[in-house]
Amino acid sequence: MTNLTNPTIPLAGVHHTARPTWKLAETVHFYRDLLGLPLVHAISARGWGPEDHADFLHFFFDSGNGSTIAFFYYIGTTPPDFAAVRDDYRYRATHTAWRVETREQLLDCRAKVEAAGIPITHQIRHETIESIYFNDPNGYMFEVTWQVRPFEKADRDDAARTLAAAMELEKQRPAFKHIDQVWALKGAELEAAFATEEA
Amino acid sequence: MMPTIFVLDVPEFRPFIDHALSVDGCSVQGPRLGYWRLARAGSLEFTRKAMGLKPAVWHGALTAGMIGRITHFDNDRLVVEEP
Repeated sequence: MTNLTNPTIPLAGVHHTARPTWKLAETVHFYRDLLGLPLVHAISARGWGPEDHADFLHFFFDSGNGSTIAFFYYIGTTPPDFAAVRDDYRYRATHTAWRVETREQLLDCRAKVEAAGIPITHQIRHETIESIYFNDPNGYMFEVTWQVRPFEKADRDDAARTLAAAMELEKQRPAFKHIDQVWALKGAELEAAFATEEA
Repeated sequence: MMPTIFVLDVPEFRPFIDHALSVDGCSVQGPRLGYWRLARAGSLEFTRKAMGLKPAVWHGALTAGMIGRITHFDNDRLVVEEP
């Protein structure tokens, strides 16, 4: 069902995620001292590039398996409105989930985070992952997750069907208002495919 | 057309199949193309807590597709009836 016209780009996982902070000491304390993630790199520089770019720090905490959690601290600035943390699911949609390999590791993670005095906001079992959630001092949501089972062919094929149906409906906006429309379109297509397969 | 739902053939959706197999008059076909097909004259009904499902899977219960009319869908009960 895929129709790649270009070769797959050769990605090998996460190098770093990066977010801005206006709480330097609290952020370092949280990631280095409370979560115990080693501070492995920091650059301090005069602003460059755009003329109004502030002088800054860019620093990295080791998050395992070659990955790092990075922050920018823009000296002498205040947060612009667009960087303000909002209590809204659309804001939280932008986040990173950090991997552990087993449920035991997830629970160990939860215990250590709580022991450090950080409240766990949720522990949720999703379809193929189970996650814990907590917030950093900036208000950024931190998710730790383990994958309960690997993705299978059925998952990939179904994902292609779901997205094909939703993209078809997206063309009909503003008539695309409910997920029921995706379910109905997939259902009609699968009914036909089931009949063909049976014949 | 009988109310029909498709269920992806993966472990987290298995409770829907087990439930359907225990319901009088419920047709269970598959797996085919990676899906089960459940159909029943009148209505198909599922109850989350009785099936032991967490909310995330429950609210995506119909993600594989359906034919019919959803007449009830809240945190614990789902009913699909004829179109």
